[in-house]
Amino acid sequence: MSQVREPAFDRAVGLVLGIGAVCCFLVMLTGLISALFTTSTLPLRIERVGVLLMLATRGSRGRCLLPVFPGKR
Amino acid sequence: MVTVLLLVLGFFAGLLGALTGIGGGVLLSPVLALYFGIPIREAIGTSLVAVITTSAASSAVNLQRHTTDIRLGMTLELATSFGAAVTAYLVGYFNRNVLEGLFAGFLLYSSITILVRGGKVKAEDADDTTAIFKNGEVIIPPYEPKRYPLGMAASLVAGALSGLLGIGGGPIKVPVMFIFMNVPLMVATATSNFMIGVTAAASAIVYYRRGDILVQYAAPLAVGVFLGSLLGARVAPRINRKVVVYLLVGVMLYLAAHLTFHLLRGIL
Repeated sequence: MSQVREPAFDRAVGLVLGIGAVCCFLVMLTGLISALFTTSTLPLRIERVGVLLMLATRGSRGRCLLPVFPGKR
Repeated sequence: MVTVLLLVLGFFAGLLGALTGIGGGVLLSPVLALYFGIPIREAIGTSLVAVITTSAASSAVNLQRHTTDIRLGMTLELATSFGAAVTAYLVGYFNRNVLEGLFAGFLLYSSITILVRGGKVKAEDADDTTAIFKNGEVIIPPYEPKRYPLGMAASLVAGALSGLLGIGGGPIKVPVMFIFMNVPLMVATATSNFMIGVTAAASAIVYYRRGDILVQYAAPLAVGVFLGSLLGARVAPRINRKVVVYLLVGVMLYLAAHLTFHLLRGIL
């Protein structure tokens, strides 16, 4: 039955996505703010890290939690 | 100045996306191409980052409410991710005019889908409220997803469009899950939101490797989209959604007309 939920797993995946999204937001915001104070390539590098972090967060979609919840999927 | 404009654009795309349940990419790609002078392929790649941000922010909330069917989502993702990765690779060989034409067509299709769904917003909301929220707990009515082959085929098409146009593919996935696969609307919307980010990530990696994601544009957009999505999720219950839906459809039809005009001017 597809509607049978595993609340702990749902919560954990939600937590990973939430933390990932907030981290990326903060990293990109840091890049934008640092661009106000410097003309070097540093802001661009920081923003690149933010983009890559976002791709990694969504690409993993909580797979890192499988060892914590063995046999759930 | 451009950064501020991108922040504002991202904010409104995120706000509209959260209020209407679309990813925001459907607005961002044409606006970036038409008003910021970015080639359509780079505009698509850049808007994918904003789509992923919207999906991550909204699906985190949906997962906490247990409205996302992860098992169904992961099964359908096999098809969407494959479709997205293949078309993201192939888009490098596509003519710019073909992409713009496809985008204009998809904007028209999405406008019609949203209008049809928008007319039913009130009835669906009423059903969801009585059936799902009991004592503060989210209770999903019993269901069993059906017609997996059809769902997989539709997901493949949605994934292909996502990789091709930098959109989430929600206007295809949600109706298919809701109408053909017997999944409740709330679960279908939440599952689609969850899938959108993974699909977009599959194609965004290909775009990134090809250098089609402009980081200096993607970062302010993502920041704006994140803030807009958060605000949208907060104010959604207090806003007349019909007005927002008609506003969104108006913007989409305007963009479709502008893209068609731009395309025709390039051809003639």
